[in-house]
Order: sequence, then structure tokens, then C-alpha cells
Amino acid sequence: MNCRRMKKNIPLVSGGGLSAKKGQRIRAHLDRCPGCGQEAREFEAALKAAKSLAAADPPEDWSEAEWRKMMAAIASKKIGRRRVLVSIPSKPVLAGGLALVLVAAGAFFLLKKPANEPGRPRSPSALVSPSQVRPEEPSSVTIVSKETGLKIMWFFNKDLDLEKFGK
Amino acid sequence: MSDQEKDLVERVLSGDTAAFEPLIAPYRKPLLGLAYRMARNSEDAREITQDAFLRAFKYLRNFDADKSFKNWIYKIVIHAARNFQNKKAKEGRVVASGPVKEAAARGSLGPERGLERRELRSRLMDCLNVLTPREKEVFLLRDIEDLSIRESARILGCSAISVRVHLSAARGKIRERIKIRHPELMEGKK
Repeated sequence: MNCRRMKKNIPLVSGGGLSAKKGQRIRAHLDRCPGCGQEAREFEAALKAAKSLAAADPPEDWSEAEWRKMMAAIASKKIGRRRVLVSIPSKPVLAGGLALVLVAAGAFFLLKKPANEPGRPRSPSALVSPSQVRPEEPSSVTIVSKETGLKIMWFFNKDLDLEKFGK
Repeated sequence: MSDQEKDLVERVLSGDTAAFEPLIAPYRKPLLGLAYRMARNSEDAREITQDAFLRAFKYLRNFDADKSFKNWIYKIVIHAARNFQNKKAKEGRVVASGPVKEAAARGSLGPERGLERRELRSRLMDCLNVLTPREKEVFLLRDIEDLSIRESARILGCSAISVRVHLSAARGKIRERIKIRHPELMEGKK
């Protein structure tokens, strides 16, 4: 390991925070390289100084009477009910759901027939007059995510055109 | 979480509210210490810790018994401290160490001891002031409270890599600050 890469790891090896294997490798370099070794010693000294400053200035604790009073006040409160939160699905689940939607959308556009292509015979339903059109149930595709319960429904008319809502 | 903690949590939830005190007592001093370093004075630290204990009691039913109670309660204190600081900042109050409040709070100490403490505190605060809020949280949890990288990550709700990155930056800044402003500390003198 060269000194440039070492510089990034010195703060972590000095105060702990690296894996044993990596730490060992870095320590071996520190023993060989006086510059990096000096820097590591400075980090250790600074960290030690910060810790000793913190230890020498503890916060003012509650007196026993104050503590008991506070505990009694807390214990007199009611414990809340379990919060039922709508849990946000994890990233892989969201990614899976999105992939599913994209695949479905892709399949839809690939399978979709062009509606009014010139020279192409129109569908039988388009040749009959509007009064003869029977109200039919539109065909639909429903995709339900097992993980999230998210349900996506698409409605199509006879020509496999996406039905607009409200029609 | 230890069996004893599990038992205490169950007792509190079944109505024995007196069991809450032995449940949080082991964390009393470390949590107060953490709040103190974040809030920068004892009075605010006590307010933050008290608020955190109250929240812990109120929302104990939401605690997942399969997870660490220690991490959970540390998380609550971190959030309480952040909320407190935000609230103070909105109100336009100064978050820095309040010498008047501290002098009153430490009235029991002699003037010399009080002065020495204030001096030590101002040096530590001077070092912590150069850190960003996240760096400060990581540094306090890992280096002052001696929690592991993984525990710190769980408490802060981030990855271990993120903790390492912030910790590395924080240690670098602290070292620079001590080297430039308080070189006597590097030599082992207080």
C-alpha cells in the first residue's frame, strides 16, 4: 500500500474502525514509513486528548431526589398504543414493483394493434353504427404486487385501446 | 438485548411502570453525557434526556424486542437533541455553551474547580465546533461513547460505510484543530 492510499486510512486505523485484516496491513506500513507513522501518532494523541477532555468534564447529573421525582412523573404517564404506520416498502421491493410495471407497459405497447392504420380493415365494432353498439364489459389487466399489495388495473376496449376513465 | 431487559420491558408493558427505572438506569449517565456534548450545557442536556426518557416510556410498545434496547434509546436521545437544537435555532436562542447557566448549575464546585471545568469544556467544544452535525454525532458515538461502528450506524440510521467516512473526516478535523489551537494537549498536558 502506498502513502497516498494510506493517508485515507490513517484516521480509521488510529482510533479503530477498520477490519482486523486491513488494520494489520496498514500497521505494517506504518512501522516501515516514518512519515505515515508520525501522522498516525498525531491522530492517536489528538483522539486521546479529546477523550480525556470529555472524561474530565462530565455533565451535571440529577440528584437522587430529582431522579426519583422524574421517574415518578414519567411512570404516571400512559404508555401509548402501538403505532400502525404504513410501512414504506424496501428499495428492492420498490425496484421490483417498478420493473413489473415497466414490463407490463412494454408488453402492452408491443401487443397493441394500431387503431386507424390506412388501408387496414377496421374492426367489426367500428363498422357498426353507434346505436348498434352493445354495451360490453371492457377487458382489463390487473397486476398485483405480492410484496406491497399494490394493484394496477388497466381497462381496454375491443380494439385493445386503453379505455379512458369516466367513459 | 439481554433477558433482563426483555423481562423489564414486558413488565412495563404489562402495567408495572416502576420497572421502567431499572430499565433505563444503566444508560442514565452515558445518555446524559451524549446530550451534554450535543447541547453544550448541563441544563439543556438534562432537558433533552428527560424528554428522551419520556418518549421511550410513551412509545415502548413500538420497541421491537428482537432489537437492541441500547440502540433504540440512543436513537431517541439523538433525535431529541436534534429537535431541541432545531427548536432553539428557530427561536433564535444561542445554542452555544451558556456560561451564566453553567455557573449557576455548578455552584456546588469551588471557583477554581469550576474555572478549570469551564476551560476544559471550552477546549472540547472548540474542537467539536469544527465538525458538521453528522460528523459530530458519529464522533461522539464512536469515540466518546465508545460504541462500535455498526452500533453507531444503526443509531444514526445510516450505513457503516457512511459512519466510517464521517468518522475519518471528524478525526481529521479534530486533529487539525488540536494541533493548531491546543498543541499542548497533543503533548499530554491539560
